[in-house]
Amino acid sequence: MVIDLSGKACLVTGASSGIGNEIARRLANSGADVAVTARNVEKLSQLTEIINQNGGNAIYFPVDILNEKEIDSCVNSAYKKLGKLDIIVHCAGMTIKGLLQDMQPTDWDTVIDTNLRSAFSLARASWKYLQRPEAEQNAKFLVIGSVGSFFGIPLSAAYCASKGGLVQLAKSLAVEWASQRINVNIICPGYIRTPLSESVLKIGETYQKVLSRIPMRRIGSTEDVANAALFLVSPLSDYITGTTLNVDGGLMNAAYTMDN
Amino acid sequence: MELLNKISVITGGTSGIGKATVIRFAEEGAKVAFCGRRSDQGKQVEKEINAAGYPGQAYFFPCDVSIEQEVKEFAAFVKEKLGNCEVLFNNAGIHLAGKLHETPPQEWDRIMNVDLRGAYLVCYYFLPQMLEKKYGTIINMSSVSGLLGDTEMVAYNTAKGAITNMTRCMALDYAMDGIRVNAVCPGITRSEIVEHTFTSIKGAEEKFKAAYPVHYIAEAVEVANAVVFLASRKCDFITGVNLPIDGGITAHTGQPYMGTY
Repeated sequence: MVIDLSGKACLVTGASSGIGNEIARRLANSGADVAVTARNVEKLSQLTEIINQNGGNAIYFPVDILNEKEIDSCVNSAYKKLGKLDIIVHCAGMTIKGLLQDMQPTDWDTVIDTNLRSAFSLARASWKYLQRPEAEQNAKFLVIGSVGSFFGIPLSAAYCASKGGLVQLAKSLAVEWASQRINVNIICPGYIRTPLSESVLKIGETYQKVLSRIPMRRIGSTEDVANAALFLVSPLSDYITGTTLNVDGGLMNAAYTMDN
Repeated sequence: MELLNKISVITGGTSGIGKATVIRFAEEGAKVAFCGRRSDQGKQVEKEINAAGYPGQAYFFPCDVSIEQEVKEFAAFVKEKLGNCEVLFNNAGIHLAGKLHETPPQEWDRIMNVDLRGAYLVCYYFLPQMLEKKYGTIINMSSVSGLLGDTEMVAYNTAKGAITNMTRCMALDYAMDGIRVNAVCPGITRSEIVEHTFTSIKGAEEKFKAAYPVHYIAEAVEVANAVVFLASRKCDFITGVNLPIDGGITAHTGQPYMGTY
């Protein structure tokens, strides 16, 4: 099952680090042209340099994902530069931790807008480029959810609300866009080692607690998530739409796990 | 090649999704033992696949998954002929329509024996091989009918619902043994039986197409591709998942589209 994405044009948000970074590199390795976005210009330029040095084709657009106009112009520029857009992978995400009653409304808005509203803006901006006639291969719109899409996480109400919202956004978009041959799916990773999760996982006690809840007893890697992403943006999954794929070592099916 | 030399077992491999998966596995370099009830057809499929020049190899063994002794013999055949099974696609199944009061006990038992107890038996006899190897991946055949309800299909949906939850529980039990357990949940998929339904019931194909958001019916290979993915090392962190391959139908509440209002 060689996933060959040569000739495909992709846009990846949240590509400066973690899962987005991994997915961008793997898309490029599979032959796709990749436009990457995030806020951090330095990291984006490093990423594109690595991809281009390895024989890939990457361009970057610094974008503040909270700014709808910037998303619009980024999508339009990516389309112009790459000549088309076939695959969108939305990985941008963040959290601000705190008890709900202590949370400032502006912080709530920042989390919801970064994680959820951004997906709306991205979908809105890219739709016109993604519709496909029957003779062509399907376009793909993939978003990244979380264990927080289904479970409550302490100090993370805004994060969980935004990630839960993404699941229903993906399902609704899938139904609306099905006849235009745009597949919309969501990957919900469990605990994956990324800069975002590192802060939680580096606390010894929390790490042990988290680990004890994962049936496979290991934290996932960004490669684990990228493998699933590649499948869901490839022609191998053309009949899969509106689906949630958990990449979680069994976590979200476990009421509790067995003792070691 | 994703499954090079992987010792693989596919039940119900003589037609439909099963046959398409045997072919995809052979393309990926696997050694595939497949079973079915129809001996002549099984041998024919075996010949056809091995003549096609795929990197893998197919081996047919006649076996009805609802008969314990035959499953036991199939497991022994695989172990002796190829070695311990590493990939198991529990595909064999039958379908039954009707409301509960129209389903006589012997018909209820028949579908439970094939769809649920058959999957259990195959797992029961192949799991020791995986446990010995401390490696394995099982893909069960559930269905969209194992995730949600359907009209006048109570026995089938009950059996498939049980497969969905059996998959989750097995994933937990074997997570630390290097054995992943997932299921595929196809919607309607082109096969001999489905084509027969389409020709015998007027308008059926159009109704199905209309019900699916993508407005087309899956080919068997589209399900087989998902099975290859779940069988591969590409998803070592994925276990306990019931993956729909359903053109978006389970994403839909089912409410009619009334136009923009």
